[in-house]
Amino acid sequence: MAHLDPEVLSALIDGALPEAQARRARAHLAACSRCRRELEQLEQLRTWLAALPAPEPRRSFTLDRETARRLRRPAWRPWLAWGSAAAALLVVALLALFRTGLGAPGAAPVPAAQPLVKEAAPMEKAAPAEGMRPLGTRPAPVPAATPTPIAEGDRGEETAMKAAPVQVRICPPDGASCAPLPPTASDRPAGVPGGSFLEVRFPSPPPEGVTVTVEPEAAGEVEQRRYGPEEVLRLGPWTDPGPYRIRIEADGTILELWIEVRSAER
Amino acid sequence: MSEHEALRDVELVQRARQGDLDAFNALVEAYQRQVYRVAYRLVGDPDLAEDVAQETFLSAWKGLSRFRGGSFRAWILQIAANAARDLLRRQRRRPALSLDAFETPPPNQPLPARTSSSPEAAALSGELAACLEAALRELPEPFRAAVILRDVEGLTYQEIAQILDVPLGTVRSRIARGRLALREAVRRLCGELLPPAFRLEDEAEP
Repeated sequence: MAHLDPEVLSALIDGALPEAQARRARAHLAACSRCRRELEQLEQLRTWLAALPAPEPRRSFTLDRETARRLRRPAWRPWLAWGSAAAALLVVALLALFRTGLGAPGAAPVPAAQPLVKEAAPMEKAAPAEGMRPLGTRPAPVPAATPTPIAEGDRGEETAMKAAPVQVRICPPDGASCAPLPPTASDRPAGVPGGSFLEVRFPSPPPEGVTVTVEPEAAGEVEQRRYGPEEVLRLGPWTDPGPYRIRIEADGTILELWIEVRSAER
Repeated sequence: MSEHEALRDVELVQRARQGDLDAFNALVEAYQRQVYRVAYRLVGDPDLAEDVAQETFLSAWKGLSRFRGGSFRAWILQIAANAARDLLRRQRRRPALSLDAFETPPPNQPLPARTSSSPEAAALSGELAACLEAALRELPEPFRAAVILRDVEGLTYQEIAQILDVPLGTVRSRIARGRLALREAVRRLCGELLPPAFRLEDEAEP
């Protein structure tokens, strides 16, 4: 009879096995002294760890009023977080007006969710919108030469690779229903609702290691994280609105994503 | 965590979001010991652990609008785990560590000493405890974090998934693999201190 998998034993002592599986495991344990010993050792280890003396901090970390005031100063942040839906609509309205005024073709209203994306378009297109800059946009980005279209999208013709080896999906905060990330176009980022996660699923066997680099285009620090062999990476939650360049390196393959995080619905 | 504590946290977070510093500091007082403990075991140094804890509460105050409900404890420990990881990464990159980037206000009043000696704690000899700590430090970071959060801190798989920002299945496998790796390290490092039943290698059995 095969012995119990260490992961099963470990979940068993945490009470984290589904009941049917736990029953099978206990039946095996009753008949197998080797697995019993394994279990006892894991339990012993857990008891010791729970009894480790706790290191105590030498001071309190409460904030004083001065520090607290200094840190909360940027008043634009709450505005961005709570008010940007309204702000976005305003930008759309102004943009539409502006383009109509110039007699630009195709002045149809931009979908509400995309005004900032439109603003982020390459320079020639963005030029008439110069006046919009104070609303929190930035100089037009240099479009990546060829952002590798890796997302598994439903608009297949935009996806260069046929069978995408890596799937990227957008998951809402509750993780209920994930949707494929729309294919990355070369001139604008894919929209991602605020608060959601990006789920990156690698084919089996998973890569040895993954390095994820996140670069906020507007401002802020580039962040890099390394992960071990994982089949699924969950990145996020993406809460700060704005465009981000994401670079995922796994075993020599590089995927580049360009997303625009929208403000969360309130 | 009790339901009462969860309700208290919801109320304190709400007030803190509106700028009530006293409410925020009540949250700090409720979680600073645990944040410090986790930071300490992740970075392995009391001074660095204090920096991580301070950084954690400063970023929590700044980023409170990003807290989307759920367990505040898991949220604050997630910030701490990320801060610890960032610190370790910076340290690897540049061994002469500079903490100038951290904002460290002058220490305020010291914490009152806490008498916490469970019967179990008494049962664990100082030598073995030190040896276990050394074995924990040998584990690769992802496994160490999972084992510490589960076995030392006693958090649930759900909370650990949120703190480490990984799916539940990954939590389960990291805890399992971490425990096995820890057992090996303990056997290697603590030899004589272990009870005989623990020293036995798995010999083949019919």
